[in-house]
This record gives sequence, structure tokens and C-alpha cells, in this order.
Amino acid sequence: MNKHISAYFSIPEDSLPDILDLRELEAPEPMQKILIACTQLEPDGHILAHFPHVPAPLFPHLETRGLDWQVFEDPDGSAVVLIRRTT
Amino acid sequence: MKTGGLSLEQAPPLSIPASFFLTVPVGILLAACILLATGIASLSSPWMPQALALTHAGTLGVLAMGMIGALYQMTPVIAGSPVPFTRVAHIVHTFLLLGLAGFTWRLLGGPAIAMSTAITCFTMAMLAFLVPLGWALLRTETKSETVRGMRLAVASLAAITLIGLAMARGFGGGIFLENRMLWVQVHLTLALLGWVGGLIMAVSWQVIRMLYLAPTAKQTTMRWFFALLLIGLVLPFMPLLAGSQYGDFISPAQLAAIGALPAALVIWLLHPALILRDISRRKRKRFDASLLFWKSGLSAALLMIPIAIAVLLLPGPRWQVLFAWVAIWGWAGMIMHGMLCRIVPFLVWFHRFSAKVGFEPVPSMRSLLPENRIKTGFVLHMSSVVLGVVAILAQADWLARLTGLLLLATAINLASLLIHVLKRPS
Repeated sequence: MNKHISAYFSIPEDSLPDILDLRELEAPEPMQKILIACTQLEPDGHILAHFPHVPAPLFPHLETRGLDWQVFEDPDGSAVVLIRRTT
Repeated sequence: MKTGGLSLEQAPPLSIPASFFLTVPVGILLAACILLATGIASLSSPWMPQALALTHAGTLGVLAMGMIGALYQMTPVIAGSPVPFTRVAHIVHTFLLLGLAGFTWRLLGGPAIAMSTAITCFTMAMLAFLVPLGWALLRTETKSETVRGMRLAVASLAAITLIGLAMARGFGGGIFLENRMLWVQVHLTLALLGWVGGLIMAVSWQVIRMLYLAPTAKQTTMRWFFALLLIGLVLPFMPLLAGSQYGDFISPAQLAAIGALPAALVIWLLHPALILRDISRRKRKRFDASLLFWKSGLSAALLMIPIAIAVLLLPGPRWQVLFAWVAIWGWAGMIMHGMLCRIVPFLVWFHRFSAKVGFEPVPSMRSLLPENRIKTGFVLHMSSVVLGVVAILAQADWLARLTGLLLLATAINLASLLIHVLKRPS
């Protein structure tokens, strides 16, 4: 999995941050956890999180908070999201 | 990655889905009043006007209200495509409610003009709903099975609206359609399997995974289900094209019912069996009262094919009434009730608290859920369904009226639960 993610997000495998696994949480807990984590994100910092599905309702919040994101959709329906602070 | 043009401003305001959801208890209340006022007359034959009023209090007042509200919410979020002119939803809601009032009044003995007014109101409501929503669903680039199912459900709604309006003219002083029995069968098939079944199936693939952390079917399974559903929705039209040369052993309406078999197998056997299995395999098995509704509704779905066989083989109209009762209040009604108990707190949390996460303490979504009232609602709803079944089979007037009383309690409980959650200040 890490190999695919590293290639998809163009991040060397050994520089990949720990993946925050949110797959065992019911909605809206994954959104809640990730938004709290984002408040502590330093400029140019990034978070990698594994969601049980593509977290569409999260994206407008990331945009409002000046964060950028990319999504890797796994064939099992889960999604890995890379969030970066750009401002 | 961007979100298909979705922003917080483009997501519908809470007032739009909430107005539809809050009308669901009103639909239950209407059904309760019909049962209390007419007793067993509304549960004795599907051709009785009182039975038609009761059926449509369920399909239009409860199911359509909840499903239209859900589509306004889901289309931007799941399909990534905002619905244009969203504020028109309030007009849709008003006309739908007025149409239902006129329709019910006429069937319970009101003047013919009540039905003509209802037809006008339903036409306005459906045009104002189907055009913008259909446009949003057609232009989306999201290619999931959920979106396909939503499209199929909305297309079925358009078809049943046309057929339904044409049939309703007969009650408004106009003439009934030729081949009335056949058109009723097509209307029923598209309504229950295409509109209701299609949307329940499409939504379950998202919701069961998102809210209950249950595994979902493989994409190939979903595609097979979708294909079978589509075949079963097209085949019932064939007797209309083929004329009336069938011989004496089978009627066109029965032939249409047999044509719907692939769709019935998916919606009332394969899909419920699969989702029940998925629910039993969910990752975090903590108690959730809303799941009681899903489990009961899906179990009721498994009864639909045996009841349909009883309709075809056993004499007497009570089996047809039983079929409609279990489909509306047991299968779809149960799932609708459970979904409202879960989705409304989610929407309230999303609209009022999600933007504050990380900046100030916010309540958890579960703290918005009055679990005890959900359980009470389940007991009341389930008792209504079971008592209704007994009333239909026994053809007992007092049991029909008692069922009305239980539905009345179900409506009051659901209304108080929804108001409790929606009044939660931010």
C-alpha cells in the first residue's frame, strides 16, 4: 500500500508521514479528528489520513481553512487523503 | 483534487432537507387519521378509494417527502454536483403537500375539483423538482453505482408521475386510462422497485459503509444488481407494446408483474440479504437504535416475494393490500424512519458544528441523538406494522383503527425527535 501511495503522491517512501488510520470511526468522527489535526499543521506541513470512504463533506472545510488536498482511492472503497498547508 | 464545484455555500441549507424530513411525520399522521376514520375500509381492497388514500399517504406523504429531501442533500455531496435553483425546493415542498391534501380529500369523498387541483399541484411540484435535480445528476462527472442508482430512481419518479397523473384524471371527473390494470402494474413496479428500491439500494451502498462501518458489496456485484433492476423495470412495459394477444391463461397485468421479476429479485431478495450480511460483519458492533430499523426493513423486504406469490395464487383482495402495507410501512417506511433518526443529527452536526471543530469544543453527533426516543419510535412503528398485518388478514375493523392509533403515536414520537434535534442551538 505505502508503495502505491508514495508513487501516487510523488513522495519518497521513506519520507511518507505516518498514516492516520480513521477507518474504524463512524461518520462524522473521521472529519472531526482530521480537522482538529489540521489546526496544528505547520506551514508546508502535511497529514496523511486513511478514511473509510472519500470524505467529500470534508473538502469544503479544508478549502475554507486554506488547506490543499489530494485523494488516493483504494479499490476497497477507502481513501487516503494527503492534506497540505499552503498558506 | 477539487470537489466538483462543491463549496459550503453550494451545499443546500439545512432548511431544505429539514422541511421535507419534518413533513414525514405529517404523512404518517395523515395515514393514521385515514385508518382511524375509515377503519377496515382502507385495508380491505386496493381498489377502494380509502385504500388508495392510505397508500398514497405513505408513498407521497412519507416516502416521497423523505426521499426528495434526501436527494436535495445527497446530489451535491455524493454526486459532487450542486442542484441549480435550490430555493425552488420550498415550492416543491409546498405543492407536494397541497397536492397530497387535495388528492386525499377527493378520495375520501371531496369534490372532483380537489383532484384537479391536486393534479396541478403535483405537476408543478414534480416539474420544479425533476428538471433541476435531473440536470444536476446528468451533468455530474462522478461515475459511482450510487449515482447510477440515483439517476435510475429519479427517472422512475418521472415515469410514475406521468402515469400517476394520467390515472388520477379518472378521479377528477375525467376518464380512466385504457388497460387500467396494466398501467397500475407498471406504476406499481416503477414506484416500488425503481423509485423506492433503486434509491434505497443506491443509498445503502454509501450509508451502510459511512455511518455503520459495514463492508459493502464489490463493484461487479453492484453492477449486476443495477443491470437486473434495469431489465426488470423495462420488461413490464412490453405488454403495452405487444397489444392484447396473450390468450386466456394470463392477463397483461400478470405478464407485466412477471416481467418485473428480475428487479423484484434484486430489490426484495439479493440486496436485503447482502446488506443484512454486511451489517452483521460491521467493524464496530456498538448498539445503534437506527440499525434496528434497517434490519427490520430489510427483513420485511425478504417477505415481499412470498407475499407477491400469494397475490398471484390466492383468492381475495386482502393479499394485494398486505403487499402494499408491508412494502410501504414495513420495508421502505422502516428504512426511512431509521435513516431520518441518523441523518438529521448528522446534518445538524455538519451545518452547525463542523466549521467550529478545532477552534472550540463541539458536541459529538451521538450526543445529539435521543437514543431512547429512537427505540420508542422503533417499538411503535414495528407494532403498527405487525398490527396492520393482523388487521388485514383478520379483516377486523377495530384492529385497523388500533393500527391507526399506533401510527398516530409513531408520528408524534418521530416529530418530537426531529424537532428536538433540529432545535439544538449552535
